[in-house]
Amino acid sequence: MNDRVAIVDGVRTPFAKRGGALAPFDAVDLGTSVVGELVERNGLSGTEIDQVVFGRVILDVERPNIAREIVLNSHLPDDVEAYSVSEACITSYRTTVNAAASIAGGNVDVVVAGGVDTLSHAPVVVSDNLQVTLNKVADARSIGDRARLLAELRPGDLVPRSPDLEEPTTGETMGEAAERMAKINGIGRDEQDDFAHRSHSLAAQAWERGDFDDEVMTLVAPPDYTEIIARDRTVRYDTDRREYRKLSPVFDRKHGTLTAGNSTPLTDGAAALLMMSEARALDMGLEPLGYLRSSAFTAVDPSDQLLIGPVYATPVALDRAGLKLGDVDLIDMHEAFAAQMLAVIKSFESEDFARSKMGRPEPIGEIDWNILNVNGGSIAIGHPFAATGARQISQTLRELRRRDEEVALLTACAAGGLGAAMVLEAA
Amino acid sequence: MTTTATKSAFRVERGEAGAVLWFDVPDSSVNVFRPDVEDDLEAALTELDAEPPTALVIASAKESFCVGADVDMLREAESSEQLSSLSRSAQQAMDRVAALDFPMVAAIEGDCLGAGLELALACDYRVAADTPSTRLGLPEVQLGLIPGAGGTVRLPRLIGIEDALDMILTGKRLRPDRAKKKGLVDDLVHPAVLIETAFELAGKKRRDRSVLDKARSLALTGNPVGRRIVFSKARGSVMERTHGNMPAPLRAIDVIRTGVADGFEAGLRAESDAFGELAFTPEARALIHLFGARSRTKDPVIGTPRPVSKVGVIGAGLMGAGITAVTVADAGVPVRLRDLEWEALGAGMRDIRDEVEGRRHLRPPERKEILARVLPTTGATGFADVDVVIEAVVEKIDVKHQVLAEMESIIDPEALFATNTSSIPIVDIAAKAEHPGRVLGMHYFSPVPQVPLLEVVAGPQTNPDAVATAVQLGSRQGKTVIVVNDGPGFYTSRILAPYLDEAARLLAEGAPIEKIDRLMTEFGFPLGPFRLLDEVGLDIGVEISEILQKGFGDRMEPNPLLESMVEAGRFGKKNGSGFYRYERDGEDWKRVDEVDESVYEAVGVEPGGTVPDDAADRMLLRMVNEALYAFGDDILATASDGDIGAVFGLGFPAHLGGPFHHVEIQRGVSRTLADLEDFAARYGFRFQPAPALAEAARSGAGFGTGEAM
Repeated sequence: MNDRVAIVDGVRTPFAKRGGALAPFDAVDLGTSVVGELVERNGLSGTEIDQVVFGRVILDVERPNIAREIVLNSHLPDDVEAYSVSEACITSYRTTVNAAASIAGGNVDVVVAGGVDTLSHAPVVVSDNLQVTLNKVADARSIGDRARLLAELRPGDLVPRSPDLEEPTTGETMGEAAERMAKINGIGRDEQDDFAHRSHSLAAQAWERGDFDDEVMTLVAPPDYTEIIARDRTVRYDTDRREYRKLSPVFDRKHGTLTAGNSTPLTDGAAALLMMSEARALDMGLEPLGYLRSSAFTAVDPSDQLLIGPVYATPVALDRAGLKLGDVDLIDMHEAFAAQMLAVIKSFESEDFARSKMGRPEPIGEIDWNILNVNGGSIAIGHPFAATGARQISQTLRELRRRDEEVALLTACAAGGLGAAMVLEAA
Repeated sequence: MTTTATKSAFRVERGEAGAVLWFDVPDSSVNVFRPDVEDDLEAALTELDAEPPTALVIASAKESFCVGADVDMLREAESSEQLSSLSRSAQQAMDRVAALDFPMVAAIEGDCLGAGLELALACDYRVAADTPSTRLGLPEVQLGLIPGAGGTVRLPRLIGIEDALDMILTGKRLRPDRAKKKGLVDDLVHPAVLIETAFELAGKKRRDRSVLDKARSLALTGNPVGRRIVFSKARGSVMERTHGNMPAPLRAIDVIRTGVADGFEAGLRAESDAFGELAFTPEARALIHLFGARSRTKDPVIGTPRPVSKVGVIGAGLMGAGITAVTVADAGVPVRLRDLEWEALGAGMRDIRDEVEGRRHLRPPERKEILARVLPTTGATGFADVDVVIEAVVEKIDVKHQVLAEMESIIDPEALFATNTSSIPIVDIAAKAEHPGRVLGMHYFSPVPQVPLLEVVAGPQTNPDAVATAVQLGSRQGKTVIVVNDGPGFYTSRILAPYLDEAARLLAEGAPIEKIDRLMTEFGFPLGPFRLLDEVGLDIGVEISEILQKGFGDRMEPNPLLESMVEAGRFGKKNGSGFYRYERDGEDWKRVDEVDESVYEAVGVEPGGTVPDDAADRMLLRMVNEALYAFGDDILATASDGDIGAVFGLGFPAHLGGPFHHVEIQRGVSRTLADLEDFAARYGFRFQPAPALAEAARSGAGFGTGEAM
């Protein structure tokens, strides 16, 4: 069985809310730090690495291939090839699966795969009219032409704004979509707050036990280098169920149930995995965390239930692994919103949904809450979009090892109606 | 295409655009200027004059353009007159270049220094390759000389008096972009099109030199008041920097003034006279000696260096951060930097960032990439693949042993373990090593990026390849490296301690702190002894004294003053309490420029005493004598290494040429012996002359530090 693709190690930065402790780092800084530390922890010099596959959701037009920028900025040799991927919140599912495919196909031996997003550095957006005009001005031949073009702009064209993260085809934001899913599936406010409180409690406990120490690196923030970021700044370490009730709905102020408390925060952070064939790991004397057994990517119409992807991707990944939901020892599901999580769980268990929506005779199965997101999820830990998949992988493989269990299911929803799932096995 | 005979330093290659004069001194890795090279130049010009090309480009066939006059020529000269006449003939060669009937352009890549730049100055135009190795300068003052081939006269006319003074008085080398900005070069291009661009420049409308020269000299002489201010400012800054210990820059000011005020010819005469005279001053002899000794440190010592592609540094304090900074920035090697606490790593990273950000010639992304080579950790990962570990933890042998044991369990058996101790014997540290052959000392000086010296300490058990590897790493870090043998205090700490002890004794006798410090800075040390003690840390000073006393007995018995300072909790700048006053500056302490008067009471000295006339000599001779002891104990491979160590590590005045040169050439062996015997009689056993000195006086053999002149 030496041809399995091994995930040798995973490291991530602590996560922090937009504008928080990680704001001094741009995406390349975070990516460089996490890749550098991953290489160091595994006793590599960097010359062993053939390729870096990195992803990012909030793109930077001036550095479109962030993977390559990370290589050039880091202490890795400049001859490490690198490409970038963007597939919304499942970006680092994609980087992992791409890396695995390249390794399995014999095209590369050792790959660093991961993702980074820093919402603190999200480029502000200008109006389309201003963009077109300025691009024309850049090509204009005379000062007169330039002046004429600029004179056509209206004051409203000049106001920059933050990207609003809405679905381009439906005009709906993530929060609005989740709000709609709550209503369709009859998910109430209390259930959501319970779920969020659970997520924060479990993440806080994991930190207290020291379970995250291995996988989270420490950062010291410039310019003063006095701010030491060793733990997630997103987790509410003293979470109190009563506090959740006090928050007002944010996406539908009148009839809504989604609050800042039961949604994921906009987050800065990065995560990276070291991947290679099992044989290569053996060769190099490295002990893998685990192996990628199967994966699946799916898509649905975004105007339906935008964040329902896990329901579609999971059975495919399980089928490919030859497993049933009941066979897995851990489930780690990306928590975009408590409402979305609870809606997905309902649909997992619904025979009606399986039959009418997916044409499957049986529901996927009952969720065993004792094995679901046992160390919390994105609501507590945060969600730097492109880093979440890699974070789930390294966190779950370590948990399998701690529990001495074998198989885990990972799944996530994403913008555009996308879904991803993978089955991992412990080493 | 025709080519002149080989074996000349100049080769003419004719082509369509004109002729290229290739500068290529035979049997030498670099182009230097000396009489036979000058003859070759004259011959080539005569050949060109016979059949004038439309344009002439002078370019080097070697990696650099020209590194200047041959220093051996200076060493071999027998009189001032001889050197003045060599200078005059070089000036004439440059005049001939300037007077050619066709345009001549210098195409400069790599070093263009001294006479090389003076040759370029005599051309009509200069174009430089925009490469990191290209440097232009007139560094003669660093050898105690001034430019001798017309540079003092031509440079002010090209770039103006102020900038010319700055270049000539400091000897600084300009990077190409600075040279372009100052007008020293006319264009800056990629090396691939250097010659092509030079021909394009030559084709431009020729400047009417007579008109331009007139206009320039008018501008130069037009405002005598402004000029006087410029020269007096230059003099002021030279005095501040050298305390009048260096005659060359002061003389350069006079020569430049003559060239500006009394005209070209007068300037040239003044220049060649000064050149010959300066070369025979003790200061120039000392500096030329140091130049030679320093370049010899680049010769391989022993063993074969192993490649170093990653370094581990243990301890992110001032020293660890400094070592990391030069490793990532100068050597370009990544560093796994470890400390126990993230707070300490953060402070270290701040120091490293400040150092790297201070390198303004680097583009911001380059600085970022350098900083990304620092890989901080509180853990033990990332050391398995290091080639060298340098520990910079506290000076306690059990802590060093602990670090050694942990590192040896992780690192490759071939990897070096270097300790940045300033005094703990290497053999004692190696005693607990599994592989003692890899243990050695790499003794850096604070602040690491600024102090040029690295003292590599080879223990008796250290294997030669480890020594060679450390030497090579040091030189990649931009350091001048000396290799010394193990022994208490090695070389530098051993000779510094008695010097500082003598300062403490003078204080104990009542001499005021600030007066002793001023005496020694005027003497040529960058810091006075008490300021130095404050900077280094008095506790460190006391620790070193103890080790030395243990090693050498009564001769090194320290005055109790420093220990009583430490007992009173005065550690120096590090805790804001030493000989000087300090105030809080964030995390650090900032020195207030006055002595902490409470010191006198703390050490039981009645303030207000005077500084004895022989104070400087007492301090100096303690250091010099100990250097001679160390030499006799075979700590040093050569006496010249001892001079390099003292000057570049401790700030020993360069115009004295180092302790050995000072004894051998300036003071004289027998006079030094007599002075020490006199001091021993008056002040005690600590001045007992070193056996090596008595031996030298008896045999008449020197230390090899006085190159013929």
